[in-house]
Amino acid sequence: MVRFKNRYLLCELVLEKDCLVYPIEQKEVYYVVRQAIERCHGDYGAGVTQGGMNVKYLNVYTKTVLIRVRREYYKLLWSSIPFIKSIGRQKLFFHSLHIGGTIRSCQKFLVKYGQQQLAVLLQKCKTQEERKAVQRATIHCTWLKGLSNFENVKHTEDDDFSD
Amino acid sequence: MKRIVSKGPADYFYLKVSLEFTEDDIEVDVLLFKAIIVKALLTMYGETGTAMTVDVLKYNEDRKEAILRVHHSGFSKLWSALTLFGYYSQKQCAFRVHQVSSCLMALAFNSRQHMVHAN
Repeated sequence: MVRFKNRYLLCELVLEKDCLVYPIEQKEVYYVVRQAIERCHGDYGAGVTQGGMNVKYLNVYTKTVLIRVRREYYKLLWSSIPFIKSIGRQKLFFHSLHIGGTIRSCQKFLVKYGQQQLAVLLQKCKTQEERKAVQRATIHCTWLKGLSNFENVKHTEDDDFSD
Repeated sequence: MKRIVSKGPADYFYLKVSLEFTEDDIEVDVLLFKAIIVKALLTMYGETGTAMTVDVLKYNEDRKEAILRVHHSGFSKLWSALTLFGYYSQKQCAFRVHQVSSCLMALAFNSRQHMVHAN
């Protein structure tokens, strides 16, 4: 079998001062991750991950990053990620959520994770309007899920990744 | 393709290495020697490389020769890092690995050079 097998690492960026949008480019994330691997695993780590590494997806609104790496060397990437402390001047850290074999499996995880986070948010709500907004969002997710199960329709969250 | 790694009965590997510079007038004491080994591991394998414990069991300052001990898991990493180490503070240098064995007694005699090291 000549196919290259990959692992997709799904991370969340946790900023020091949480703002709605922080403009980060995929290039910057790539360089910061390369630097971290070079620091933790040296020339060997940098050389071995350089071929297959790619920042596949970056969403600055939800602060989600999806990094692809070759299957044999995913542990080098996974272990270097916690050592990243900033991108440019913004202090942040990477919170690794999931490692999947395909982008689709990471999407499925992200949907479940989003629903779990909504439940956490509901507990943290301070005002009645916030609570109503979160409840509306939860109902919308579960309604969509029910609809997709009933009519076998493709989940709309998939569209975010299709580029 | 399955990769089979055989640990074997050896816990540690012993290497007899010497550090060679192009200029002969450089003095290296045992602490500097250990620091150079750690630097070689740092450039090649990063911070996880320096976490590997390498012991300098014997050091001969005149010949800049040492007997190193390393755990079997770090053996190939240490040897490859020493091989690819070329410069120390802008001076060209090289590590020559004379003997390698899983048993320390085997380093007492070197049949290539017909020298029995009594120290």
